[in-house]
Amino acid sequence: MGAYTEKIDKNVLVLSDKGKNLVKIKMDCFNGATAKLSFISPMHAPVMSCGDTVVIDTVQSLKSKGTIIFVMDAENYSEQTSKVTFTIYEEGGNTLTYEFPKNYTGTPAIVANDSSPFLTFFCKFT
Amino acid sequence: MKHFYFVILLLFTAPSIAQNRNPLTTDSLEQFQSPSFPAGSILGIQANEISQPKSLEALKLSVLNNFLDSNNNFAMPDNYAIEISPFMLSRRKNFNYATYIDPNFKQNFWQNLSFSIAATNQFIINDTTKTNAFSFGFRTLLLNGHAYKDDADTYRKLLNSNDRYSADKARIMVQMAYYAMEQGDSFKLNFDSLSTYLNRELPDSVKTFLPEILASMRTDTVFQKTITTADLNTAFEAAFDQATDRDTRVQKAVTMTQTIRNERYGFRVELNGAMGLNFPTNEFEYSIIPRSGLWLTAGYTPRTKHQENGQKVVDGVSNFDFLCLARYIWTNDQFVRTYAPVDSSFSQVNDVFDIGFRINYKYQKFSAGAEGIYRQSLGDQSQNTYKLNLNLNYELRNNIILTYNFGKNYNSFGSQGDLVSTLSLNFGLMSLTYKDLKNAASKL
Repeated sequence: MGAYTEKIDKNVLVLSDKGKNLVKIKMDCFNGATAKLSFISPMHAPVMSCGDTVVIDTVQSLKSKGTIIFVMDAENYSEQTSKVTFTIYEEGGNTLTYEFPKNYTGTPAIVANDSSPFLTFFCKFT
Repeated sequence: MKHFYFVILLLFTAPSIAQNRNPLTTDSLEQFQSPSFPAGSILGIQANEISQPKSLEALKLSVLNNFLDSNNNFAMPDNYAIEISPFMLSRRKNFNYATYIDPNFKQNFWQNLSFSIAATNQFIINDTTKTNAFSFGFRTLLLNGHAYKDDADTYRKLLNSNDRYSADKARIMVQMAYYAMEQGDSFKLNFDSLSTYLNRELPDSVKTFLPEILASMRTDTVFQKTITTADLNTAFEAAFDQATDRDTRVQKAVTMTQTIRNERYGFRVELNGAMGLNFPTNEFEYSIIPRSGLWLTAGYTPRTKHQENGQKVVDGVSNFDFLCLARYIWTNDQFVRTYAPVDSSFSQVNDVFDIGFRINYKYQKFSAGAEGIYRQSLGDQSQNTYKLNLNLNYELRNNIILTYNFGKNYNSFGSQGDLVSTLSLNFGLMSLTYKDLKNAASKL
């Protein structure tokens, strides 16, 4: 069980110039983990679950905001390592995949086999 | 022959070794069932044809047929069947207790979809010619009954509660992270300013524990110096978990998962399909599809109530369950007329429609089933026939079942008689374990 914070410039998604395009996020959980993910957006409910895909915002809006903060709280009662993938993509555009704990480079270092990670990470939209 | 003995020995001992290594990972959640492969059914090498709803094994292997020849010597089996579940072999994305106990239609279909292959080198045509035959089948559940209501309800409440805490925790931290971002890369935290910010930005529904959390954070010595977002994240998590008694909540869920009952009651409907393939000249280049079929098996397991410890009435599942079958089989009449397969299940030259009924009884490691199938020829009514079968199973050990079948097969125009008497061994590998499901659910 640890609280992890990813580097702010770790995840960058380059968006197109089609301002009305939607940018979405999908969260998938593995090894039996369950998780809740929260971020602030006017276009969706404040919390999403494993397997959900939701709209983050439009390209135009995200370019003006710059960075979106995401916070995930995961549980895994089997005490297996919680593994969660986040796929952030522009419809018809680029895709960014961030996998925890595999791609984590933040502070503090990962506790081995953490079943209940609490993760804050960022995505910069340019 | 030595190789066969060795394989049998290996299959018997391998599960034992695995269990000794880690009992938790091999504590199968679902009881392995007696064999019933769609592929084996269409080829006529499987005595019992009305299958129980499948259990969640990644891989099932069945050695069908007698182990003793006519001189009572140990004989190499002639017929084999194997069934694999793509879902159970996959990474099981987003699979947890919720999607197991209360799956929607799509989850049900995918989690229970399996493919089977059966093979025999004793497919006899033209009275005496032994040929090779294969068959390919699939099956999945369209309806999967219900889990124990008491368990499901209690679990649902606990997991929903845990989910709400996780959601609130993430929502509060998002706001804290935005507050921290406004302060810069490192900053000295002003609790009054943070409190005002959070009370303004967060809805009342997530503020229940906020005063306690902030009070707890104030005592953390990390805030006596300049901090980063990571410091704030760590301190907040500790304070939130303490305020909401996370350790107790998690331990409750762990304990409940370990004691969950796996039987299901109510209606279950299974869709099956299979296609046979014969090589009448035993040459790879020449093959014929003798027949193919599509069928539905509907089952009902009654729900019971009983006294436990002389007081509490608990939901239970009956030792009996009832199944019925409706099956359509397309027959390649040209194949039947040309090669005259001996197996009595191929006695029709027309398409057939089967209606069957089966009753199962299970008591501890022993189970039995009796089934009857009426086969109506869709061409020549005089070819209508029926089949009766008694099926006895004994679970030798976890995921290994010995099965004996005895009965009357369909009327045959061949000369092999209609008596059914077979013994088979069935192996379930990589079945669903408690460890696979010991997870909180987010979708109940």
